[in-house]
Amino acid sequence: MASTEGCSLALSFIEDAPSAVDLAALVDTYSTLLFRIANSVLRSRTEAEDVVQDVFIRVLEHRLSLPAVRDMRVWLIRIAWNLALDRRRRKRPDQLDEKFAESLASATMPADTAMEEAQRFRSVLREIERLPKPERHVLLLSAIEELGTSEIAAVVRRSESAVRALLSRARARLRERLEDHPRLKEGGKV
Amino acid sequence: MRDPDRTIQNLLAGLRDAESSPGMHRRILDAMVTGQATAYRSRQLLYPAIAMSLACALAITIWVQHHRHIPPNLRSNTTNVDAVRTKPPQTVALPREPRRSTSRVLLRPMQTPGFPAPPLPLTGQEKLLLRLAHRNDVQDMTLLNPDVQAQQSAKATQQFQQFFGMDNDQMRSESE
Repeated sequence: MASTEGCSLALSFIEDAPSAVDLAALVDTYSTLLFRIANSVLRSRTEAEDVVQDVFIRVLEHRLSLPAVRDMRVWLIRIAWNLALDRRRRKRPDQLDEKFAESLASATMPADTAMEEAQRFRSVLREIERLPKPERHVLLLSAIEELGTSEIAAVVRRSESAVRALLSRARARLRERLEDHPRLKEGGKV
Repeated sequence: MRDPDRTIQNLLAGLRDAESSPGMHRRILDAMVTGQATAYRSRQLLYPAIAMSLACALAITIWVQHHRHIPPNLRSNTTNVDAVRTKPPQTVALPREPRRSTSRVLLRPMQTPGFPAPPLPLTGQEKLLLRLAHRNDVQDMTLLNPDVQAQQSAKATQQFQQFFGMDNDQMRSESE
């Protein structure tokens, strides 16, 4: 944490306007959350880290208006979410899933079952991509444990009840499609 | 899929527990410091640059204004030191030029005669003559001869008189 303190000092020296917000503390508090949000959209660690960096660069650019931000957490999440979606538009969906599914399976499963699980994950990711956009967004945001319904509602600019409805619809649709999947019907083998 | 719910849960759990690389905090803070320092330095350079460009613009404006008000002959006199010394000092009443609008100033080069002056356009008769000369028809060229023209005219008059049975005296008296 010594390095973080050094940067904090450097930032405070450079800041030429009084700001009540400690930027280094913001990075410490929110960078992991923002990384997970960007990673759920982009499915790439490096790109998700780039997004987090872009978020804080933007925060630095608008540091004079930071004291006016009412809910810093939601504000940062929304910036990260929008930046991730922007990046996502430049990529083909099938570019995302191969390595991501493998890395996800190998992180959560023993090696002997990881391959099979990776194939299942690929199918689930493909079906998530086929969901209607609002449902997909709510489902991805709900995966981040730290986010409550009210925060998700603020990020996607919908009411909490609408978010709950979208989430349950997304789960039901996804389950239904995976059950009907012709290649996945037989014992989970692809 | 046998248990889609479990697979969905596993996938979402994987997304939830994703960990960033260990140096991410440090990289972000470094990028912020670098970006901020660059912005600060560029801002420091920006103000002198603006001041310099304003000073240059002001100098150019003053120079243009000064040279516009002095006519060229006076400008050459003031630069020639010997001429100033030999000539007695005299006050020159500069004729005040009326203020011109921009459109008139722009039109001026179009209205002033060029040097050398362009040739005048040919008249209709000159064009006809040129055409005849280029065609080089013998009959047409003989028509251009004034003697031949006079002969033809006399012949035509004679034919006219013969046809109507008039002599010269009669024609003159009729015309009078």
